[in-house]
Amino acid sequence: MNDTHPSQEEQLSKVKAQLKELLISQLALEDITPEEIKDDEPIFGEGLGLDSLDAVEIVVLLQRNFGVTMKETEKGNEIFRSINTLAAFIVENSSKQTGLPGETTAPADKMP
Amino acid sequence: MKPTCIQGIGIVAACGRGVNALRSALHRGWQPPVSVTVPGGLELPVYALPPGTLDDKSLGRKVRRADRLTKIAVFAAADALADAQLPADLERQRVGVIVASALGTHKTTFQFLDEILTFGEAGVSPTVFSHSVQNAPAAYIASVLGLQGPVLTLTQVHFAFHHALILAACWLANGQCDHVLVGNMDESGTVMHAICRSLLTLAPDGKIRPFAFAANSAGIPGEGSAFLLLSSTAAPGAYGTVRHVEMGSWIPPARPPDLHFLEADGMIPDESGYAIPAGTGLRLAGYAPLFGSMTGGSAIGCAVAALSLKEQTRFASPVPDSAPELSICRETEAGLVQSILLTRLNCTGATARIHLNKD
Amino acid sequence: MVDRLSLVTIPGMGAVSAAGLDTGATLASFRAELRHPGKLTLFESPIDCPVFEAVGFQAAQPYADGVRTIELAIHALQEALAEARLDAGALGSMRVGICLGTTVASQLNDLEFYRRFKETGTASLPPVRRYLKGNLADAVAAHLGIQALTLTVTNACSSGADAIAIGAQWMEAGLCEIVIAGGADELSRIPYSGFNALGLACKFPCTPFDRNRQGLNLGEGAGILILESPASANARGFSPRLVLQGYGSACDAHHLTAPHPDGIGLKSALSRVLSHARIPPGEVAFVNAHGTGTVDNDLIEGNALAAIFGSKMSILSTKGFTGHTLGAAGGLEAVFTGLGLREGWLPPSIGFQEQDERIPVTPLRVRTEVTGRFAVSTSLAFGGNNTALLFGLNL
Repeated sequence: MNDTHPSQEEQLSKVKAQLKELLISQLALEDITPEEIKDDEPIFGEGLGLDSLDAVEIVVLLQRNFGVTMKETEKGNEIFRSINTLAAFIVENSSKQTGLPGETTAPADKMP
Repeated sequence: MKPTCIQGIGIVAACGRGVNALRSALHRGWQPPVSVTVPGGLELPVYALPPGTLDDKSLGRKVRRADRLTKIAVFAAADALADAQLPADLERQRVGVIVASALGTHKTTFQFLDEILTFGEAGVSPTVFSHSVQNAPAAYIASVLGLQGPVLTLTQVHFAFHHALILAACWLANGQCDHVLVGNMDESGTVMHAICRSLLTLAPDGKIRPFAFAANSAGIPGEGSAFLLLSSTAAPGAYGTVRHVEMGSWIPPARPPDLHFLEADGMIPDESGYAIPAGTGLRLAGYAPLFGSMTGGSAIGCAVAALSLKEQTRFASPVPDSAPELSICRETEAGLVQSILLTRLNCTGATARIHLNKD
Repeated sequence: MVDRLSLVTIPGMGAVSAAGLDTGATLASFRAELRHPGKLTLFESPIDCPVFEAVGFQAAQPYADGVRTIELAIHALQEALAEARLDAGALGSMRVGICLGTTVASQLNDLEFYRRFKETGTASLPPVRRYLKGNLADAVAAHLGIQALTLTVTNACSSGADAIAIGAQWMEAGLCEIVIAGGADELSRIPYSGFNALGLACKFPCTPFDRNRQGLNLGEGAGILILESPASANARGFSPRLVLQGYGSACDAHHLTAPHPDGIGLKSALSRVLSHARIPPGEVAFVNAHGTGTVDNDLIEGNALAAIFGSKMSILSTKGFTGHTLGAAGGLEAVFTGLGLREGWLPPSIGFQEQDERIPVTPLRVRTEVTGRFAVSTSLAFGGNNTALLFGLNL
């Protein structure tokens, strides 16, 4: 048993920080810093101003960096509203799928 | 073909970005290419964009996801539009865009294939896919510049830009558009470097020789983009006009032009066919040694020609090595330049010719 | 102003797709209201979305190292030439243009080539040479053994329609008296995985305009028109009834992957084509819509069509029969539009069942007679270009 298993709060905090870094680097948001992204501001439309192409890219980002797969019905809904909602989704589904958040799964070996 | 007026030019190439950079490069003369290391450790000379050419942040978020080829094309197109200084109340629905390319979005296509190999087909990036589509750069040009006329992308190894000029003339003549942004874009990248290392005979001293007419020509790969803003009506301050574009067997021009650009650049293996158009006693020039070998290089050639016409200057050919009987423009000289002909060959020996006039 | 109707006749058409290996077989599928989506067999993929393969297609002889897109194009071309009573010999003495749209055939996208390069750093040259020889329009010219003005259009989903418009423009400019125009595309793992990644691919057979639609299915095929000047056709003793009356294109200038929410580019293209053809919207008998089956396309296109033609216009999407054939779509749908006018009937918009209240038009639910001489085909491209073609039937 791991005595230093992080609390839910710590997990969320770590995921939020990672998410902000990832959004900036993977979505080429060069003009802002992680500190400028508010946890509860909208990330689509207003706020961070992401669009539909970013939304589908985030689905891939979640899979590659957190090992979390979104079901069809989950895509494009409340989960995407803010950093808070995304982080909560990741933490909730990571513990079901792989254990600790932040672990990257090995690239899927699906070569034809 | 109805003549079209060149109101603006934009260029992003080995000379850097912009008309001033183009003019400086033409005055400076031949510069050696840079050297890149190809997988396997070999060196490849390339006429690449100078470092920092694409650092412009003024378009901000609009190009945040754009790949390198898209940025090259968008900057060149935006510059051509700005250079034309069209009125502020320009009807953007009356402006069309035609983007030609020899090799298209190959680099991002390879990046997408890399995604497939790394992450599997079910785990690829939708953003990389979207940018691998051949007309992505044209879509960016239209959305960044707010142009809502027809937008077209033509990708073929030979003469895509010539076709683009023909179509632009059609769009202006039949009233679909008042202006058309026409250009060519091509970039070099790791895979293309490896291909060039194998397929291209490289000029050993880094010098492309447009007047060698060699049966086994030597080149140096180049990259870049040039755009023209063409309009149906002439305007003061315009560069000149595109009078005519034709493709097929070589036919001497009815009226000899003041300057004949031979677009030999070492890209097609056998350039001996250039000897025929060269042999007509016309004054010759060739600028490929500044920009590198590109089958799509005629757009850059037209930018040089447009500058010549506007400034009434014949720029020196950077590598004039040639047989003594040829009349090559070896020194930059001011003087009357009324007409320029550009001639390019493809690998089957067919020619494509662009006739430009001062008015 | 020149009477547009006289400029571009259509003496022949050819088509190959999942709906049929020629126009006759296609009409049989339309008449039977049968479609054949299925599992992907042409290559392996972990993605499991239905596709529309041209089942049973085999090239009469392999061309250009077996590039399937070229073989599909040549197959459709042969039907079109036969209908137009033209052969390579006749074409050899005419001023011919060949303008074809494609997405797949224009790319160096060989996965094995890239895998080998990634692993070894070596670029294997046979795939490169195959690509350099694989220009679609040039391959068709080489197959016919003729000199021609050749151009390959790579304008994503409107490529085939754009190629036809270019053919008409070449004829108007006096460059050609005959143009072979249209589009061709084979199924490819690049768009197959790409559209899946974008969330635009449907896991069941597509249902264009339907309330519960969930995306597109890819398909393969080729659609070719022979365009000919009236003078040239008459000199051969031909009086084609079908004509290309007009064309129009405009860009949304909005976003790389999403259409403009108000359909401004499509509305502009439709206004342009009606103006170019000098036909009022009320005289258009039907519209063969782009209708991919994605939530956004059908919503925006449906609203734009209603705005221009009114909510009672007969519209259908034939992508329920063929899937989205990308570069071939504009060519195939031009053929289907011509067939609708010539045969005088349209199949239902297969796959459509339930009205989406946000879309003010209703696609055809049953086989429908065509009453009228003019019809429009629309293509909305990835990247925002919209192209509309208007066809007419001479009495």
